[in-house]
Amino acid sequence: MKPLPKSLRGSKRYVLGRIVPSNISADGKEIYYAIYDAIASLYGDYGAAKISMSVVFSEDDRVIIKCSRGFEDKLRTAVATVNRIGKKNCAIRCISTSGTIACLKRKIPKQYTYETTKDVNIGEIHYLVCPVSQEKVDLYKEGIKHQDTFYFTREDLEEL
Amino acid sequence: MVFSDACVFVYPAGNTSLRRMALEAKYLGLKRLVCAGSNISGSYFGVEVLSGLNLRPGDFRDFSRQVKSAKKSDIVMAHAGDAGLNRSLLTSGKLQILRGLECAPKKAFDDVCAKSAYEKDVAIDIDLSAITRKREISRQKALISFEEILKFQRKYGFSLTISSGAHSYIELLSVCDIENLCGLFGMEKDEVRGALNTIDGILSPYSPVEVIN
Repeated sequence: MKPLPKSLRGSKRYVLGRIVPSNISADGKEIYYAIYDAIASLYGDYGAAKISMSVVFSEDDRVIIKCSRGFEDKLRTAVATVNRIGKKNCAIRCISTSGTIACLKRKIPKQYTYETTKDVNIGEIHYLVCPVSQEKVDLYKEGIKHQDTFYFTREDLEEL
Repeated sequence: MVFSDACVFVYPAGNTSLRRMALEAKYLGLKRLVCAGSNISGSYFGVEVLSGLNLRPGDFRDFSRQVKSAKKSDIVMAHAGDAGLNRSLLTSGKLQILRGLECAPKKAFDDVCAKSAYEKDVAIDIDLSAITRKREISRQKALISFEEILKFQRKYGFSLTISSGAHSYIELLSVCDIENLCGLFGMEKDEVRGALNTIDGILSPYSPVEVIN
């Protein structure tokens, strides 16, 4: 099918989202399927067609989603119901909306590395400590099966 | 206005510690959390944390026994059951928030319950995890149930609270997301903000006579 000429094309808006937890590196395709399933489940096929969502950019924990103008709120509502991307439990938090991708890309902060701390034991189970920010740390249970993750702060680790 | 999440579950009931949950809630615009099953209350990273007692009584005697034996909490919540149990809970005077009406049987919350909720100042909770984590028929039933609760609230005037039911910081919802999700069953933004502020009214209830020294 031939694309519409520019004068007949509808306006689009772009929504910047952040995937939590930040260590999940999801493919753009997986993110698209997760959001599309959420939209279709909430608004049906007609609603999904009206919103006409697509994922235009994804890097680390940031994603830029395109939608039709006037449907940003519906897109944000559907994105709030996303609780899984692929097999990983996560959420997408919408940060801002803009008419251009460049404006949203300027809002993406730089990634920083943080001081690592020693691994901890909770009970008899050993957990790897992964710093997320100056205050936040994620604890991952070692091993292939039965992955457990806990989300603590540095002050909580000192109390353990 | 102090926006509150009426029910979250922190470690060990969930996988996120109290401090981490409070820190994440701060970034989402929430200023108060009610932690179900936790006895700790205080202020962390500028977010006030309240202890909540979350009960699942089989009948009214069970509820009275659990309330007597439990440690003192800032907020007492109970899960709804059938119409008879709900009426007993609402008129008991020991309950502050009634939750789980979206899972309760049909006609579990009627006009008598609505009047009792208004007279006894019991808030009815809207658990948004029924919309975010459920799909298909369960979610449809939850949306219908919330719409009916909203109709009762507009007619009888009892308070509503809104909770995310989060077991992890990933499941917390921002104020903007809460407004959008509540809009699905017809709640206006002013009503959402009022419901998010209800915990304030529960902690300092209005009394007709005030003695000022």
